Amino acid sequence: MTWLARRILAGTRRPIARAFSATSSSSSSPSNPDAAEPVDVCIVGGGIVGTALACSIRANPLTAHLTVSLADRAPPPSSAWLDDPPPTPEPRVSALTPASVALLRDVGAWDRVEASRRACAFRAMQVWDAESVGHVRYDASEVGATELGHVVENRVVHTALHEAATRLGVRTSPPAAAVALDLPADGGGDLATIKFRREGGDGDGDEDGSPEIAEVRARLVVGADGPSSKVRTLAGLRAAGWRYGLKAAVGTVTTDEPHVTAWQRFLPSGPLALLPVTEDGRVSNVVWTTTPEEADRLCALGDEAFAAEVDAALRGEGRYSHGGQGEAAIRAVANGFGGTAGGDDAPPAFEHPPRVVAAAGPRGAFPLATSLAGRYALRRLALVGDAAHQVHPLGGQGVNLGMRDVVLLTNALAGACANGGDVGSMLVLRKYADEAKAANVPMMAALDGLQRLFASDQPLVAWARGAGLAGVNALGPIRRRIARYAMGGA
Amino acid sequence: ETAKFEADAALWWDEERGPFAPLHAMNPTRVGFIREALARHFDGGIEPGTGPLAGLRILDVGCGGGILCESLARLGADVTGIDAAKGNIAIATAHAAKDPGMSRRVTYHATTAEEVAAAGAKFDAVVSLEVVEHVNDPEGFVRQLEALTNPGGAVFMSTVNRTARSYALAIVAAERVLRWVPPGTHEFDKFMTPEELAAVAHRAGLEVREAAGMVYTPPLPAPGRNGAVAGRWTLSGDDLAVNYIVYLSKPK
Repeated sequence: MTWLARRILAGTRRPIARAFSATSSSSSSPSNPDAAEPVDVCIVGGGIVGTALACSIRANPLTAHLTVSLADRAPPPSSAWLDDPPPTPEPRVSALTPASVALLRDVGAWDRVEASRRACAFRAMQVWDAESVGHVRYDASEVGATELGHVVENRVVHTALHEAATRLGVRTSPPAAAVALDLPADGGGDLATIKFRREGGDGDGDEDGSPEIAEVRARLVVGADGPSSKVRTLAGLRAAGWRYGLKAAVGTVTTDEPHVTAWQRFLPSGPLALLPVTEDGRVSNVVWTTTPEEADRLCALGDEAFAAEVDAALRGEGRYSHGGQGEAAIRAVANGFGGTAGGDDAPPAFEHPPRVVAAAGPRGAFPLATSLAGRYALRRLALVGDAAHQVHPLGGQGVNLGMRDVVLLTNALAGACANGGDVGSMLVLRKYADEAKAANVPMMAALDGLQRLFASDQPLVAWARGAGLAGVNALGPIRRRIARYAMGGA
Repeated sequence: ETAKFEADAALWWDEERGPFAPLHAMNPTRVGFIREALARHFDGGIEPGTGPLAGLRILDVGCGGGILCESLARLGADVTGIDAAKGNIAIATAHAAKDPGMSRRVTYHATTAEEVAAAGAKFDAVVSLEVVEHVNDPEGFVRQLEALTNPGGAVFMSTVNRTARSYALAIVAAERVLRWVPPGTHEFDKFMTPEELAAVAHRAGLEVREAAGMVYTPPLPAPGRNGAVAGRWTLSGDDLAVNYIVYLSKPK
């Protein structure tokens, strides 16, 4: 763990929060007729993780009696889109682990995802290096599973979750932004108070069109509002981390043959990932981590040019061929490295990725950073998802870490409710915070370490890296444990 | 006896760093035992509603700052808490008033079991946790608890056993070394063994249905925990050597 992460964990001990009031008027009328009755859990941030948490609490028999509200600055996703989605998948996707899919199943959102035929179960994963010999290839059958995970468009998951939330009785309101938060001190029994301002109002401070401020009292406030979480800021908590100085360019492509493998090739600037996204494996998603200039250049290319560059980069051709090794040499050495025990136990041999033949749909680039909140919880406050931890998209772990937070927090609340406990009690939330950190920090450190390792061009480092990969590919029990951990298990 | 508690009244609800942190840590385990037993005791007889204890009228004798009362109320019970110390009642009432849902379901009175029994009030269940080891007349006290219970109802008591281990832990460690409770809080002679408590209960007309030990495991050292008293309490079927809780029934 880096010194910075250690310092964060050792205690950015902030004093218990005091209110940060917004400017302007306090003379508006509360629009919520139930303003007097507090809500048990007020979730701020209606993205995938926030909505999943709302569903999870309402679906768990021990916490199903809790009232849950979900607030977001943006309007909710529309079901109509998912009823008849456009043929080209969106470029923002996630590779969900089986644990994440299990959560979606438990809250009744998975059926809709499957029915949309926009989820691809991938059976194998191959990671290899542009510069040196060595590869790692996993097959689901090695851990006794039919798939390693599912690649799904974020919008599909989000829409399905929102529909489940409505069915489960999660309370939603028109788009609103959190503007003030008041948390009680230790030893006090007060509830938390959070103020929202309606979005899309008539303007500020007018006589007739003053912004509507709604005040909500809650037994627990959850910040699920992303890496620059407003709730976290209002609570006086800090997050620390760094920007990678890199961007990820994302887009949608088609391949010459259908495939159900997650391919990831480490170029010097970072990984290039090709993930199958439609159920039939014919359309894939590309996530290309590189310098901001390169990412912007790639996004500006036309469809044919983009497809050609992705294809060349995956195959090590043209401007992406390095060091004279060549694909055939890589394959020969890698197989030789790993081929000690013959028969059933032989590690999977290197395979060539399919050819990328066309591109379609919008492309975009977003900057990459990693950060970790100093504290995941205060009395009557918990942070989940990117609000607590933002990670490099290596391996597609971001959403999965958030889903694990959802499971851990729901379990902590369920344990509390079983014995009549207070959902906002620090005794309860500390349990969540400790377990979530223990689950997240190793992954974050590993992803960060991997990113730095693979960014190195030095020949010796590159060879060691390749040899390391090949070693991992060869050793059976280690391979299986890594696969199971990556799939969201213990 | 009451003077020992009133001095710390103001810090009742600081769950992690206050002087009653051990009680807060112990509470979920005690509540779990009571919830389980009551669910079986009134099997089929509890009206459907929110919570496993919905509709039950419960009296907490020696409720202190209301830690147990609030948990029982969240499980759906209609709770009355009494304590001889006015300061405790004031704290409990003030704390419940901060949550609208809570103040509807729990009420507190500064009074004694004798007075409430004399008024003829009866409850579905009477609980008195960590009290009997402080009273001067345990026989009389348990008779009051019996009088306050409806026929066919349940009584719960928890207390400290009188063993070498309980002396070492509840007096030497808890009072003198760790300072979980102020020195002199407990008197070893007043600790009762489960057999003694069962005999007292039997003479008062109550039958012991179940007893369990409450065992404390200290927290493992972990970074950033600042030594808070947040170990784990678990119920044990056979280790009643220190803290234990009993479930008694009153015949119909």
